[in-house]
Amino acid sequence: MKRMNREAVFPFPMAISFRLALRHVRTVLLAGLLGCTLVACDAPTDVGADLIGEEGTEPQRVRLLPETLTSETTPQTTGAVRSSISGFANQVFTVLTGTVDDPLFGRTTATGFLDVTAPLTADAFRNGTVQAAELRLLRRYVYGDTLSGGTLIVSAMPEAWEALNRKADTTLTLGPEITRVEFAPTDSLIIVPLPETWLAEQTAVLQSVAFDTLFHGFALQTLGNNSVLGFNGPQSLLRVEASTDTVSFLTAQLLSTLQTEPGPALPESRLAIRAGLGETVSMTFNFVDSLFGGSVLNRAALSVQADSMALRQNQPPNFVRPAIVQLNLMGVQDVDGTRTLLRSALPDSAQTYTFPSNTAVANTTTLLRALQEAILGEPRYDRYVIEVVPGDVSINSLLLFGPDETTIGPDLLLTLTKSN
Amino acid sequence: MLKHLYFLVLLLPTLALAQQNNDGSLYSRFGLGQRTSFHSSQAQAMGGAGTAMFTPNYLTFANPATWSDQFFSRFAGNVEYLNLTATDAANNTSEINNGSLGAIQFGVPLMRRKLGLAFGFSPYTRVGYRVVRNGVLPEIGNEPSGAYTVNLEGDGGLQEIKIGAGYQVLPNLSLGLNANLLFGILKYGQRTTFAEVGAFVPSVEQREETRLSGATATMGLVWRLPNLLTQNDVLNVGATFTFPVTLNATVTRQIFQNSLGDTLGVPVEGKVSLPMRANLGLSYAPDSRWLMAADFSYEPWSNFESDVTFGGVTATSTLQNRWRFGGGAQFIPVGSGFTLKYFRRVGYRFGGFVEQSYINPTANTNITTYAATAGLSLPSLFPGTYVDLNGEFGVRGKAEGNLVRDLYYKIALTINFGERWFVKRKLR
Repeated sequence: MKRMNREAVFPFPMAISFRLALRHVRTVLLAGLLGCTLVACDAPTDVGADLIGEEGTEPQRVRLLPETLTSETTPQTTGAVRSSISGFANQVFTVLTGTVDDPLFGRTTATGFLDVTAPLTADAFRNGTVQAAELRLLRRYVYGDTLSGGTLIVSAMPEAWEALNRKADTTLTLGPEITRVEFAPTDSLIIVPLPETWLAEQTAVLQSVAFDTLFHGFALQTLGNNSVLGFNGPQSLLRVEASTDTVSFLTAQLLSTLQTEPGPALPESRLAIRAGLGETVSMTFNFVDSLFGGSVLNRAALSVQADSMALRQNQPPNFVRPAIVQLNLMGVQDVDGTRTLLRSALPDSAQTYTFPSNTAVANTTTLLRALQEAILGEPRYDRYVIEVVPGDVSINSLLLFGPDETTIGPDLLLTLTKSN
Repeated sequence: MLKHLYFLVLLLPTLALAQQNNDGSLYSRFGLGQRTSFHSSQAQAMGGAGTAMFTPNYLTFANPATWSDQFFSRFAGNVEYLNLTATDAANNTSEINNGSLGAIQFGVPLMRRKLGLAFGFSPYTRVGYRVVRNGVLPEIGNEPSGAYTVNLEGDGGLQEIKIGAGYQVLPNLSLGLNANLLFGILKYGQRTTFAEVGAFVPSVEQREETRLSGATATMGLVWRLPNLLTQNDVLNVGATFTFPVTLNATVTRQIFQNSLGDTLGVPVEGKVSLPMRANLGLSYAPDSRWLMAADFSYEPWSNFESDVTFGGVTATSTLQNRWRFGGGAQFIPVGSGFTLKYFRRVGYRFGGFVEQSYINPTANTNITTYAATAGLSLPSLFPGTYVDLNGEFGVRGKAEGNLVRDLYYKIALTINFGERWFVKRKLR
């Protein structure tokens, strides 16, 4: 069999000279090989998008209604201790007292507790004779009837109590009544003169250097005014006049306890959010795997709408319901009750609170991240709760459209991209 | 030769990396990617025919039986440039340019022209596409509008390493056997970006990676029929059979929001079964100047099975049998002689092929490629070393419905080194 033989036979000297010269040619060729690699240039367009892009690969908006929507109560922190000359811990400055019958939300009874601390400079006071004492309460808040006056009842506290981080559902034992005074609806400062009998009993305590330990404060209640009043803790005080000096015992700690009796049922398909007592709205969502599996969120927004008209329609004349302005969206882990703030929202002109996701996904405590994990089947939170922003004590209220209001009830609008 | 061997071996990782780009045919989205094959630069210019080609100046990886006929130790490296224009039914076009390393091949005769070994690395499939789709989400209620861009991308592919030997059993019969290692990563991605900062996450991405690996074997034979029609002519008949192979697959899915990534679930593992391959080829050299060859290749991809879904393999996708028919001719004016006239020593090649792809992007659709090939074999002044310059011009698919028509040309440069090793020194 003949083999094809393309070998060339060179004269030997020529082969050597060419071999030396063309060694560089080989190197150049190899460099050219390498230089040609990985070169790419393209101007991608949408040509072929229908061929390889299945329907649904573009961002879509999906509206998800809550699977469950319920009311629950999580009493807020209503106790605070003075942390500085002008500040109280937990941003709680107000002590509540009174009883109000709200045609929508039922009866709410508040009892306020106020403890005072000895003045810093009281040497002259301690060397004098106590002659008079009055409790000065600066009113800053009212919920209910603004035209009715009432009676303020001041009682003693028989034993020490702690206010720090106490909740609105705390119960404390009241001591005997000390005195009571009438007040007018327009009184911004209620002065409660304390009786001489009380002075006689308390003089030694008032002038004692161990006052803070010996004295346990006052309990405040009201009658007849169909309103809950709130007094400014930092600016309320016990003023004691002695023969040698007049001193002010500033508020050291304050606490408000709240009790509620349900009233007539709320309007159909409405959910209440109330401060103080901590009435909140809890919801869960079902991220069906077949619908969402593998999807990536571009944006999420949870929306709830307040029914301000129902509030107005069920509001008696001269009856004030201070509004809840800002709401928090919390993620709750039921295993240990951990609550994580995901987002806050203010209402728009239509009284819609929208909690939009932010775009900083690196933070694991964001709404976007929480929902993305839920879509992936690894939810961080068991449910989502809408509640009043923690702050100063009040019983402000809000009515939300509920689960039967499919067009304006709570919903979650997801902008997502599904897998191709 | 060894220096160049080391140099080209160092390029091996670059080969794998070279597969990872988004520039190629949109049809590579389907199945395991676009099927490719590189047997030798000589075969590439002759329509891909190489199953029955015995040429001592080239290593042909179409048939391990041809490795029996080695005189030089050979090393070849191939680089390609591709220009492709895709056209849809609305006559919109998209153009890509891409350069990449193709294959690396190495062979050494153990017993000159009787027993030879060979090793080769080349792509088996290639995934490379990128489509951009723009749109706007409208404003709804309190929800803002947003202009977005969706990038659908794919890259990667399967690589094939062949290692084996060919042996001349009888003067007219050579047999060969090689192992085929198939491995690679198929990557598919979908990235959505929003222009408006603040309302939407600027970039979200879904990625899917499928790692595949497995091994099979190829048997081959070449039967020579010399002096068949004329004195000194040679007719070779070659055939190969590659066994079906089951690849181990691991599919991993991830999502990314900005730079933060999450792996979806746990990686899914499964099996992917590829069909057998059968090649039948003929080559005929009437004299030392002419060589003609033709090949037919068949792969029954309708037997493809996968218990995992990924990228181009879904629960509803179907594959069809692939076949390829190619042929060509080579002409060397000087034949086996020698002349100082350089261009009479150059090999001139031409050919063509037609291929029905194994993918079925839409129901009852055949994706067929028609291509013409040509090439020049430029000898260097070093015996056995050639620089081959090849070109391929083809059209694939059709611009109907959702389909696109690919119009492409490819330029390939291959350097074939040949040297004599293991020369026994003679003492005088």
